[in-house]
Amino acid sequence: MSNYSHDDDHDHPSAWGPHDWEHGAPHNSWAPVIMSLGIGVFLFSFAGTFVMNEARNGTDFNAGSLPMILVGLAIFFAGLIVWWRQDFSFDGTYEPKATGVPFQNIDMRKVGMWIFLWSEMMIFSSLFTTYIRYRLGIESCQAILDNHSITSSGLPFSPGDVCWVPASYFIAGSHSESWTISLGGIGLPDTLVPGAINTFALIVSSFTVVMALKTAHRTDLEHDVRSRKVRNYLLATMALATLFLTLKIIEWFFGFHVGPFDAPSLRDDHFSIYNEAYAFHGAGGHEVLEGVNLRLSASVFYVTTGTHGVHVLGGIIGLGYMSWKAHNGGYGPSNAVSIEYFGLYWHFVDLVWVLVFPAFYLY
Amino acid sequence: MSHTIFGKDVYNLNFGMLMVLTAIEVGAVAASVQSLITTQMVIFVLVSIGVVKFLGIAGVFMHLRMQDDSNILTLTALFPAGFIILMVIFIGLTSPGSPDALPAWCRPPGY
Repeated sequence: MSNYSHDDDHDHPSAWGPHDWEHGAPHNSWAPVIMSLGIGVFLFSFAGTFVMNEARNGTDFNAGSLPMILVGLAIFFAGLIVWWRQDFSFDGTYEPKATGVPFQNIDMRKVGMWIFLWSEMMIFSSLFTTYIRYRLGIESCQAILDNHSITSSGLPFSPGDVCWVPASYFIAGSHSESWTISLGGIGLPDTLVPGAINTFALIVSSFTVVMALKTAHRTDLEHDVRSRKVRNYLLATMALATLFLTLKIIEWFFGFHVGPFDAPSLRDDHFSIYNEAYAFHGAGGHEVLEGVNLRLSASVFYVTTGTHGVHVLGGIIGLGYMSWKAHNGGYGPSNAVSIEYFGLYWHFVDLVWVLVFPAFYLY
Repeated sequence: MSHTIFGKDVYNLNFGMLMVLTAIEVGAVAASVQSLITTQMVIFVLVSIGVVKFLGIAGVFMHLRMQDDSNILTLTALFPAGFIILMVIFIGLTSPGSPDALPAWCRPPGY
């Protein structure tokens, strides 16, 4: 580790790169602005690519938005090139420090990761806000049955009307038919088993990342032994993340039929964004609301848990690279911040699941 | 990285706490499904445990406590938290049909 002095009075780094890192890190890059603009154009255009067609209960492809999608991607990659031009000249021999208030002397990459995580907080908060809005604003199907306590023919409810059916109705409710696990007289529905395993898997994976970082900092181990241990912890994290996504896919599409467990998939249960005629059974299993529209309930569930799943997938890709780097001895006591900053991301993914699991799977 | 509470490694303690709390969450819901506890009680358990798990992960695993820069990073996190509170109050707690009442110029075409 060497420290370079910041000779800002005499050095005027280009906002377009390349950069002379002998004078410290650049603080005037246009790359983030250009890339944000590109992502914005891309997302606005992409949002109009698939349009709901109520008449045929499906989606239409709108080719007219393709040019602007390509423009957005082009702007994004232009910003990426500017970023690369500035960063490729850096040999990585020191950790650049932030200079702006209030982050002076904190590692620049750490500040960057936290700002990224705060933007991620906004994404998931908007999804949770949507969930809260619909959960509180739309009467639940169960409440309609409970409040009227009469058969479907006499209910103030027309087929195709929207009422709220939480995903937990299919996953953790009395709707479940198979109960294999029982502890102290309390049974666990089989449909909840994949989600429960996933929750424990993510918590354990958070711990294995911590162990990878702690091991990388150990000075009492030979370099080869330390590198092998770090690699193994990272591989364990990747295996747990892969298990998470696998169980997620099983839960959505295939059902959990392992040994004594017999849980149908959400697709088998007709919990779909296209289902506008679901027969909702009350808690007693006798009364029924015919023709319940599930689109809204299912969309909120799949978009939120799917967005989280995409983040897990991104983590798996990052872990693949880091495991390879650890295998080649790339981490040590003086060079382990990458694991720490990845760990921040991974703990955030765990943190989101801490909220998603009770909100969507349990309640 | 070597922080301890009562002589125990804080990361190990946090990990153990998260595992136990998650087991309690799942158990509470299973008990609720079989009507052993009320819905209100299970909501209370889920929210309480969710808050503790959130603090455990953010404070210990993400180092928002116990490090030199923890305070400034925690304080700065309040910036998006302010927007989140506004979003929950003004969007999350409004009626789902409220966008229909918006003027045409701030609604997308076809709505």
